[in-house]
Amino acid sequence: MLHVIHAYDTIAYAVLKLKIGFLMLEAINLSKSYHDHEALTDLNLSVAPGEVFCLLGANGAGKTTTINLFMGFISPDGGQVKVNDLDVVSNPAETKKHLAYIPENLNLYGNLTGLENLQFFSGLGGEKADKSSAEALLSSVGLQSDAIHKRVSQYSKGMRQKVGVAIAKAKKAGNLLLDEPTSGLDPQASNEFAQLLQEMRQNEVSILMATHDLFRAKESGTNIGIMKAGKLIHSLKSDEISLTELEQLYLETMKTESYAEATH
Amino acid sequence: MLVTLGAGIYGIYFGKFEIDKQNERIAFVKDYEREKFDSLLVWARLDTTITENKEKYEQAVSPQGVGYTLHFAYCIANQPAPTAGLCLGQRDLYPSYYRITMTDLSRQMNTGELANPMKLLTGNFDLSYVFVFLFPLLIIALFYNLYAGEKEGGTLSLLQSQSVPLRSILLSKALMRMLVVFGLAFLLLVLGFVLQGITLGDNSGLLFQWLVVVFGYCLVWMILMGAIVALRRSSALSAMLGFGLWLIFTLITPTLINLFVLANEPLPNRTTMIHELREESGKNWDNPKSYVLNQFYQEKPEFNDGDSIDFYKWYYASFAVLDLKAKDMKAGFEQQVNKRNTLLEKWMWLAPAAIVHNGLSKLSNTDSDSQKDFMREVEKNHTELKNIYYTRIFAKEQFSIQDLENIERRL
Amino acid sequence: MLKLLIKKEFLTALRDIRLQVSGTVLLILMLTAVLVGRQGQKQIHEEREKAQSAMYDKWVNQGAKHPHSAAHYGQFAFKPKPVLSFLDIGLDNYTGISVFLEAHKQNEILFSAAQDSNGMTRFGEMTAALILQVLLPLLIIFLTFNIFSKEREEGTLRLIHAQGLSMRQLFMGKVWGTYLMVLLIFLPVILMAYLMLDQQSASMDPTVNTKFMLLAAGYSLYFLVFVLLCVLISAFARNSGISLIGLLGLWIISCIILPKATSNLADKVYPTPTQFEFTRTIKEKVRNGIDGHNPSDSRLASLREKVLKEYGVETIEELPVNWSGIAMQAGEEYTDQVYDHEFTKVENIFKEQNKISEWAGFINPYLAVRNLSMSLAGTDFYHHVAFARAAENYRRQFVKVMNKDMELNHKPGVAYGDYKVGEEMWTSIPAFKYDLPDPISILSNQWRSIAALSLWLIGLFFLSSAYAAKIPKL
Repeated sequence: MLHVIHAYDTIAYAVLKLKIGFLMLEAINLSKSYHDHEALTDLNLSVAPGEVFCLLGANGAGKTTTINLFMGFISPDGGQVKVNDLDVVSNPAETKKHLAYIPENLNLYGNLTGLENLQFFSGLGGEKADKSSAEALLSSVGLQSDAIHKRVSQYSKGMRQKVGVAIAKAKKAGNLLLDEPTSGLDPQASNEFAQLLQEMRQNEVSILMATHDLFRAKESGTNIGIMKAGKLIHSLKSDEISLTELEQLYLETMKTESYAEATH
Repeated sequence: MLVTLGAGIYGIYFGKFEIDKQNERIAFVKDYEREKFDSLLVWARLDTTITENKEKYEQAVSPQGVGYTLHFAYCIANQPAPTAGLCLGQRDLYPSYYRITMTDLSRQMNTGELANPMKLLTGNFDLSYVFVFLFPLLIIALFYNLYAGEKEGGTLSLLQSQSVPLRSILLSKALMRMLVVFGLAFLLLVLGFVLQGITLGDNSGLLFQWLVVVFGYCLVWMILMGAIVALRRSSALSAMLGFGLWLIFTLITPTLINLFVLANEPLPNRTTMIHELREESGKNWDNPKSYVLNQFYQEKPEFNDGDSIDFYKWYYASFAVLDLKAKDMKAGFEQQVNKRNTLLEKWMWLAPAAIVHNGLSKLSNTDSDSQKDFMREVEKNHTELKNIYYTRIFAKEQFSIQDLENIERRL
Repeated sequence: MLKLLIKKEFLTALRDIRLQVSGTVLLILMLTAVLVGRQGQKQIHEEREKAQSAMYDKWVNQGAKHPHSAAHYGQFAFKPKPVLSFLDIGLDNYTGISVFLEAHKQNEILFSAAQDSNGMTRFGEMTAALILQVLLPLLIIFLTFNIFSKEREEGTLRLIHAQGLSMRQLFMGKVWGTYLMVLLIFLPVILMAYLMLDQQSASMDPTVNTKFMLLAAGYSLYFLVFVLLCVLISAFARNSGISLIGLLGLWIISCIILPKATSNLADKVYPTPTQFEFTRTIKEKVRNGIDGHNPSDSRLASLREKVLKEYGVETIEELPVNWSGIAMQAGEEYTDQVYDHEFTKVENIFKEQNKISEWAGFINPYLAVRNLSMSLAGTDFYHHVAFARAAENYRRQFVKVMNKDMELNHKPGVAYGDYKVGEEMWTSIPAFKYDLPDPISILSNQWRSIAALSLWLIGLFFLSSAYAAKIPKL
């Protein structure tokens, strides 16, 4: 049954693509290998505006590789990565303009303040933020006002992540890539983060997020993909499945993975 | 480590090359002077009944002829000590020999060896250099991650879970590395001795002294590195601290000391000595002969025969008088120079690299003190040479074959 | 964009305690070196000036005597301490400082400071040059060794890249940011050094300003080369540790090991002749003629014939001029000729030796800047030879004047002791004055070092623009 959903989705996106011309984030037959290890095999996925696509999977399943390929940190061995219908490899500078990014372990410059970090990064993104608007932005993502002028080396992970969100927001890009943004955050911070995602989604941003957190994926995601060993095994709409079902599906997938490994 | 070994072998090779060159020069000049003197001896033995021989014979047996007219010079060499090739020290700054005649010594010493100052500035790549500069770097490289390497490699917790205390594990690791350093130093030294052609049997004491100095120096560095390791900081910081110490002790302190001492204690102007000697020489010529001879007789009463008009006596005595005056002047300069060098020595403890280099130079007789000893030896030889001449000149006698043979024996 | 990157590099570096400490230490060292060095330079300069004029006074007040006696009495030439030598002492401790000038003889330039010191001197002096050539590059290494790897390890490199900045832009931002930081240390100190120039010794060299500017420019070039090299290496190093070890290794090889190895090699390739050979060859050639077939006796005989013919007389006694004066001058000139021939030979050997270290600048920029700096500071071999030549020319001049006077005025038949000249004659010889070589001759002499530095710069810029895009981002 699940395979049917997958097939249905592919058709649905094809229709959607026909309608608006292109999708915001798109991977076509994407492959990438490191040395002799295949990190990604024939991956196809797309994220339309207002969608939050959550990638689930164990460590090494290829989630981060996918995001890195979208970001152009590495180049694919086969297939294509497209942002706003532009090929990432041939248009590195142009596609970057449409991408905002929050990595897993966001280490900013420890001896700059949160404000200075924001100003620096958004400046690089071409958005010169003056002091007051940058301050406003930082408080809008929930950073305490007394922390804004402290050096980032004194920040907690959650605070650094907020600066990261501010940097991403400041860029006003149509696409957002998140690499396990909530790992290591306390529940409250994690919740605040989900709210921010919601807000951006409403602004028609296409969001691709790699995560371990099934609950968060179900809560914030519009689409969910489950990856294992470089392949996208399942791709489904989050409102078509309950959390328990998702958990079951996930565990089952992981089990076959370990089974597959055992028989290898 | 291989780099250090390679550098050490190159250093040995280079030191040998330099010392061989100096030995060659000394041998060449000695042979040249001996040949000249041998022909003189042949003249002295000529049959004087043949008229053509008479002139030659007379020149050969005349003290004036031998000493002055024929420009016969007497080569005194500063023969390199056994390990000079391992630590060239200050040797390249001074001539390795002097050719002296029996005229006044003070003006004959104003000579140098041709040397490219650029080479003097950059210095010699000998074994002592490898020990003083490169060995500490090797020690830093071997020790800096003694603790941090385990921690950063993730093996620390594994080590800590063993029943043996961490301290003794680290200590045994340090001991292993220490053995490596000492082994390499020992190997290089023995290699140096053998390649320089120093017989180990006769010079085992010297080898031992070298080992003590080199091992002591290495030990100091290992203790410093041990202290850095004991701080238990990251390997990058430990490496930086070690390197910083190396910079301070081999580069910064010696150069700072030199800066302060050289700038504040400028060297005495030795040129005035040349000037004063020319004034003295003028006085010798301008005054009646008794001016010189009286001074001379006062100093050397054994030659006093009351003669105060003889040209040759006056002529040769004037050199002795010049030397006498030069001696006082020189003492004044030496005093000033010594004052400065004592000041340098006073601060030397801040620069262990300089101390060790100095120590090795002393062992190899290539330091400035050894040069001073050599100068004293030259002086002594000159005095003895002069005595042979003066005895005959003041007695108005000719050289006997015996005299000439006596001189030859000194060659 | 560049401004933003530079500002960030500045801020992060300025807030790093390790860099604060090492930068401050360096600044203090520089200030000390410049202040103390300048004091020493001034003192030595004044002392030599004083000695020079005192010795000239002796010459003027030597009393009435025969001109040839005066030529034997002789004069002294002191090597002036170049005003910029406090920035780079160069060979000054290893070259003689004064020479006794007398008739018939080319004396050696004697009394180098190193000979009168103990082994400490061989460790060098803390001069601005040492700091700028050796220690400042170390600071550059500390500034740059993790300039990429740290961002890579912390993940900020990804974030920067995500903001749409190309690696080439980032690379140049880091290069210029580091370079400006180096200039921030270098420029104030060099400016202070300029303001502190000892005016009295500066007045001896009219081109001192040009030389100073060139010196500053040379160092600025060197720093840029070093910054580019370090940033390039650190960009491609796998991690901070490897990059630090690699850069330090490079520094040790280029600043500590290679210079010694190069000059030792040079001595092997072009062996230095011995003083003994040198003097003996001159003596022999004077005796037997430069070509070996023109012994001094026959030279003298033909000269006599020529002079007798010129004055149309039969014997020396009939000459209206002093024959000894003529003969002596002719002998002097012949010796000079031989001496020049031999001296040039030795000089050329040394030049060849030094050329090896100049060529080595193409593989080691430290050597290039060292040679250039020494040259501009007036303390290199070229300047030493220039002084030697100036002193020798001065000697020839005044000896010639003495001989000429003897030839013309010491009438035949007058006893040697009875012909005397006095102060008027001595003052007609001006005091020894030596003009330092001008900047153009220095630069043309140092073209290899300049070419080496430029080539390094161009090559590194080329390499970075070719490879910057390939800098790994993860």
